[in-house]
Amino acid sequence: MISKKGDERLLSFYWIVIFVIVTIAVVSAVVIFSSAPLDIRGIEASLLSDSLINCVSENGRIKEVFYSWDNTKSLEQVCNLYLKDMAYLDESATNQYFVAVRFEGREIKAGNDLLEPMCNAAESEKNIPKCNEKKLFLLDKEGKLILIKITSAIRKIEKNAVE
Amino acid sequence: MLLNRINSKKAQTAEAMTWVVATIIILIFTFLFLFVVSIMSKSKVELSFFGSGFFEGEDAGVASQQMLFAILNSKSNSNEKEIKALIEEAQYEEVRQSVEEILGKFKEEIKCNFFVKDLNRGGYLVNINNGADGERVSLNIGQMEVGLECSQ
Repeated sequence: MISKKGDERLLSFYWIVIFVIVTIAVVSAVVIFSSAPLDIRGIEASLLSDSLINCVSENGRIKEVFYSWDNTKSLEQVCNLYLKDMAYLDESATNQYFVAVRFEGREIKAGNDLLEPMCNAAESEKNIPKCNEKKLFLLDKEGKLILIKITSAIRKIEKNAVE
Repeated sequence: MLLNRINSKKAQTAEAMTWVVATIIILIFTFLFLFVVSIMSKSKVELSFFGSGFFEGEDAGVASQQMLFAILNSKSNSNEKEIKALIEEAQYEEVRQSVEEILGKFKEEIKCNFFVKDLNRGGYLVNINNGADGERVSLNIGQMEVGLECSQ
């Protein structure tokens, strides 16, 4: 009778080795994939622009409030925007966003002015604000179609830094 | 000789060798799998936030919607009637000329396609195609569907 004890022990060893390898592979793959950063600032900037479009326009016309704009008003109040990132605990919470509405030579801005010039920085695409510009035509108060530019920029570089 | 047969493990060794080769192949595929996952994780993009994929710069429809309203509420140069009224009165040639003029005025900044479609017969009564490729928005005016699609 040929003893098969050694044979079963040998095969069991390889079963365990393969089991451990596959388990480590699956866990590693999940950790690698899920821990990779996901930068959604582009979408956030686009949604911010859409909010501004909804604020500036009504039925295809520019709202009257934007013609009579003065220093007593702010885009945050008029458009119900909250341009602060409370994930930052210091004063940089208010420096993470920038929005602007431009039409007929008028410019209405809110947030951190310093972000806009960095939008199309040529030297590097890493670690700069993500910006979004949308253009649309709307009717002015005289019923004439004019071009409006909506710009939004989001900083949050620390959380999205590329190494 | 019987003892040799009892103690011979040649067949058992052959089976074990099969597993060694299988383990090596599994290891290779495992490392390949991890390599592919690490590449995929670097190119993670923002997909499926809005179902069909959403990328920077793509008009999500809000701007197109307001521009459609603006076009319909604007007046035709020739007879001072709103374009919406011209559609209701079936003056499609007038609509086409006025909208072409409007879209031509802004074509450097924004590209738009505009159409008026008969919902009953299914044909296009006005179809201005400037090669835009954005999200289409439309609304119904009577038995007509009026739509706009813009890209920047």
